[in-house]
Amino acid sequence: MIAMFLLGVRALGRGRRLLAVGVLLSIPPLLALLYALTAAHPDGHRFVIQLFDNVILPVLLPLTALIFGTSALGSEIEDRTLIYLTLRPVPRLSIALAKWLAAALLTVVLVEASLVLMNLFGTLNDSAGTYVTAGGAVKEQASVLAPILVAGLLGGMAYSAVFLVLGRFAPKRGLLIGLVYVLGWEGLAAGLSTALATFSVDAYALGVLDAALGDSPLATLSASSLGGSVSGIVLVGITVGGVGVAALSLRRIELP
Amino acid sequence: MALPVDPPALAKATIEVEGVSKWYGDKVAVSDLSFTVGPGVTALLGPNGAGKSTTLKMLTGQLRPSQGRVRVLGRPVIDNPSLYRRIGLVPEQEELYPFLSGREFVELAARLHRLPRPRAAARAALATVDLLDAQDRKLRGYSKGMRQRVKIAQALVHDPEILFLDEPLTGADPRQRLALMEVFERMGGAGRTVLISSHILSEVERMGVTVLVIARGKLAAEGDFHQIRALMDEHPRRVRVQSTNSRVLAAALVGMAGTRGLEIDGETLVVETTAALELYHALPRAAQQGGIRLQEITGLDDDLESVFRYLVG
Repeated sequence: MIAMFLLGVRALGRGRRLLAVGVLLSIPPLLALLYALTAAHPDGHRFVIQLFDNVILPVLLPLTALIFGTSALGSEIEDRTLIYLTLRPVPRLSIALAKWLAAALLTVVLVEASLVLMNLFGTLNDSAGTYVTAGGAVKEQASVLAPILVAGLLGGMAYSAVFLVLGRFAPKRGLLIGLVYVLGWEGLAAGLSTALATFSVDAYALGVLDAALGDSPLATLSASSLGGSVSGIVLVGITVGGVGVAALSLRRIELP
Repeated sequence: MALPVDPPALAKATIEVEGVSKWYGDKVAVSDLSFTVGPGVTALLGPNGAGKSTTLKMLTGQLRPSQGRVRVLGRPVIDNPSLYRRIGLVPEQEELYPFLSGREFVELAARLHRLPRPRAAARAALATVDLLDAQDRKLRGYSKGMRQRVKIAQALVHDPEILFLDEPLTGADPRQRLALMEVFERMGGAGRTVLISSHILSEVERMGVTVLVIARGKLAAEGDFHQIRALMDEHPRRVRVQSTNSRVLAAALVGMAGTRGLEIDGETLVVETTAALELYHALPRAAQQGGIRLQEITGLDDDLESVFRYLVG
């Protein structure tokens, strides 16, 4: 499986695909830097969470996962190279898992790097250092980095699995279909009601973020109604389910 | 006209095909194929679009038959990845991973087969196809012939019991063709099953002792190559020869056994013969004796379309 994983990383992490993701993910750190340098009384943690809630989680994270995820199996099918994996004595689950791992690794590493830079730049001149808890205690504003990294990690894993399946079934139009899904559903429709949000990866990643933020007032910014544990379990479930569906579908695949 | 199957091959069949058909909607790609293949070299012949590739894909589990049954080494090939440990395939398509070197590509195959020494196995396979000099070049820079050879190397790397080859000699130069044909013959001689699909008769003429001829998705002939060849030789074939002196060459060939007719048009001579192979051997001799330089020899109906006209009317 290691050989297929390394092949996947090399196939995905090159050329225009990487350039496009690099450009996308440079936006949050640049915005954070701009904010830190221009705001009169910068509240970097709040800005970082808002940017994460409204731009990264619903748009940039899924777009990154879309670019890598749909290509992981989709490009192999389109380029007719999948045969060099499927005609080997390896279980189909290993192929699906290796491809998902490659896509998820690139997605998570690049998004998390962007998050680290965004947090670093955004809190450069932070002036809001403390907050008062519901019990009246004054607390130091903790870094939001760990919560956004955890939410980004679980969200990135789940999105990668969803788009791995999409690339398997729609290798040609996966990117276009995924784009409509990301912008139309994750970025817009799922934000309209709690009921719709239960069908959105974004909502569960927000649930994880809220839980990780604990009693910080910043948790109310995302205001997810889904509990942290449930959200985490659902995201892992989506991931396992996606990889499983991809593996099963590879057993049925025909290579004309 | 299915010729009798060689009884020893039936006794040791490694590939069994029973009533296999494949259709896509209304289009029938392959219809009711039944045959067995045993150890040795077998050629799967047919013109482009006859159903050879579809058949090979069903034999290797890439396609599910719409009807019928395929067994390889006594086991169903569909959904049976462990069987691939014993099978090698040279696919028809040229697409490879452009960012890998030839060595990395063959090593990948060796690793996926869990060979104990993947580097050494890859090196040996690359040496077999004479690609060691180019092993570190990226596949994107490989010529068509080199791509064919690296595809053969990845199929040989685990020393399979059965080797499927879909048009394996496309793009290879004459020297490489000869060397590769020797490799396949050697494997066949060592008791491996080698099934080669081709639409070029001369390619399999020296290798294919047993042939399966597919035409329009159906098995048109099956059996010993020489029996089928004898059927073909009853029909005259035409060979075009470009030389520096067609008239002298024609005079030398006119009395040759099998010659049915000669047409001269400038420097072009078209010979109609029932003994094409003998003609190919006689031409250089005749040219040398007459002080003539041969420029081009082309079999005008050596292609399998012509063979099928002979075989299926």
